Amino acid sequence: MSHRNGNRDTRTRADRTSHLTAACLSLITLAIKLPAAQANEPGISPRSILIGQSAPLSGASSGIAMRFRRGAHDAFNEVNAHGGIHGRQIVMIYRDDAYNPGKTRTNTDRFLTRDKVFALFGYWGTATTQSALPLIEKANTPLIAPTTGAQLLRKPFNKLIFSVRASYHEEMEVLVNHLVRFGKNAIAIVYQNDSFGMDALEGAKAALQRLGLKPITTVAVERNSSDTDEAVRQVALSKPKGVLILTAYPPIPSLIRKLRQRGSSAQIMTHSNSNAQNLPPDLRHSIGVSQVVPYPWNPRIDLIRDYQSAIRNHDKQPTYDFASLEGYIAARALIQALEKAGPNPTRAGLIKSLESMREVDLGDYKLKFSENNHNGSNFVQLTFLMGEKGSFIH
Amino acid sequence: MPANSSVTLLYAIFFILTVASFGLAKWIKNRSEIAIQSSLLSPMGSLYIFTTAFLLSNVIFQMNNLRTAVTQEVVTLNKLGAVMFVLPPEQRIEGRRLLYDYTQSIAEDEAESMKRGERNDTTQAAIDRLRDFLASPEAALPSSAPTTPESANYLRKASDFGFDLVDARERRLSLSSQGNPLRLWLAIGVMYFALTLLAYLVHNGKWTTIWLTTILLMSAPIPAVMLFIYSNPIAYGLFDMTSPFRAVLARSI
Repeated sequence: MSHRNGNRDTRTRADRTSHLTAACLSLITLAIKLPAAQANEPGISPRSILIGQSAPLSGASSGIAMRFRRGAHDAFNEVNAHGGIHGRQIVMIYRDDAYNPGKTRTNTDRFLTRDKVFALFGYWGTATTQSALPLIEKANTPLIAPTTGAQLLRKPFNKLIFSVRASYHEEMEVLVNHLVRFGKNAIAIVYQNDSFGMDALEGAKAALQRLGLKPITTVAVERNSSDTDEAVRQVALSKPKGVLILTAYPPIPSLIRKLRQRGSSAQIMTHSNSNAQNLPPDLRHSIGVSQVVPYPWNPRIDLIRDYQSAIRNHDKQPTYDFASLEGYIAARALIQALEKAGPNPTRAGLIKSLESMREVDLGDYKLKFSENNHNGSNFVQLTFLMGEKGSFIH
Repeated sequence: MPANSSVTLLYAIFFILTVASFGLAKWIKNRSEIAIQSSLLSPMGSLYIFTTAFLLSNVIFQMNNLRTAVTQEVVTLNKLGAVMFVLPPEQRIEGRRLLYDYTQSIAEDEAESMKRGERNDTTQAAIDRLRDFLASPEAALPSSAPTTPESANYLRKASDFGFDLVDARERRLSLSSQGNPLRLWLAIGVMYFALTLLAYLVHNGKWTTIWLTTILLMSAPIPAVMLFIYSNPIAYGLFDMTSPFRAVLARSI
């Protein structure tokens, strides 16, 4: 009996030991497995989430990209100062591509293979982003808030790309409608000879076509070039009432100056990524600029109050502008998505989280995503550079 | 004529008058024995001082009028900009652009023209474009727009401010160009000649004459300078017309 009992006791003890061992093993396995799962997710560590941005941080287009980065940085700093996202700090690494598609591709390759970032963020430019697309798709890495409104990132639908700004076609609609509405039907177009310029040109032509019009002339200029003599000659000869400049910054000052020197009084209009804020003061008069975010000096909007507060908290000399506001909005969208993705984020989880943001109110400003729609905003407003210092009015 | 050349010419005329009166006094003294009491200079001098004071008060009055007119114009620009905020964004941006365009044209183009007492064609074109906009349906509120305290009287106010702007410009332009009152010029010239002649007649001696001439030349043309300033305070730098407009452009209309 006692033996039996002893046996039973022994068996019970053995069973207990075996259960305990199994439980311990399970816990150890779980403990090993959990960080392993996190360690397998690129860019996620127990204390940080790594994201990468390639943008022109040098060269003529650097101003707008730097301002975008500053706005995003201030938003990330704010959330990091309050403990980060589920205990992890957002760490953003930057690489300069000087608005050169080849460098963007190299930067992306480094982000994905060497740095092993969790997501890509705020890529600047159309041709540059386009050059990185094959790598992004191969690595199945989400790209949040590329600062381009080109159709090629929207059509065909790409499940990895989430945009927080309106398309160039929507910007062209606003610019063309304004010119035609106020009697400037004779419109000349100067566009950049690459995928960005062609996309914007198509948008402008489509907007004119909807009004039963055609551009009176279209002239191409090369990317990063300020050789504009021939373009100005052709535009001036066509005697336009309005001129759409659909290029990045480098040729714009020369185009405006030479057109005015030729006596043209045509209304000059350009797009949100033109970096018009960097124009020399003598040229910053009566230039129409479409914008894809609200007016950053209007504190009546909740989002703008938050943005201004973030800028003031982190910058010694706070200045507000459209590009940093776009960066701030993009960062806020990413922060919300990461929070929703939970304590163990994955790239697939981030995509799912963004798609579930059906109507995110950032403070009188909404972003709307879904499984079939990765374009969060179609907000466009027209501004003009006017006044003593060539400030934006709206 | 540029402001600096006018003042130089003025001093040249007064120098000639001084030399002429000195020559005449010498000729009179050589031809006849005259004994004019020096106490006669006092009422003559007083008359000259009163004339100067009268002209000075007129200049100050004129300056104040001009300053008031410019301030009124700036206030009207601000008010017109403010009422435009009730318009939908697509209409508002064009209205504000035209308003800025007009203001900038005053500060850059018309301020220069006004130094010559002239109006400016570019500024005229800018205000015409603004008036065309205000007269068009683009400056009206859409019928679907909700009524708010600011939009309730929009049409009447926009119309009033539009006309006030035209009035303010005309007032500013008229105050900057008063013309040259020839009779007043002659009166000052004759009075100065009489005063210097009297001074040379009652005083003798080399050093007395040198100092008398110096003092007369230094102080005598002042009333005439006042008259110049009265005719156009902007041209003579007494009133910087551009600064109120530049200030409003820097702030925001």
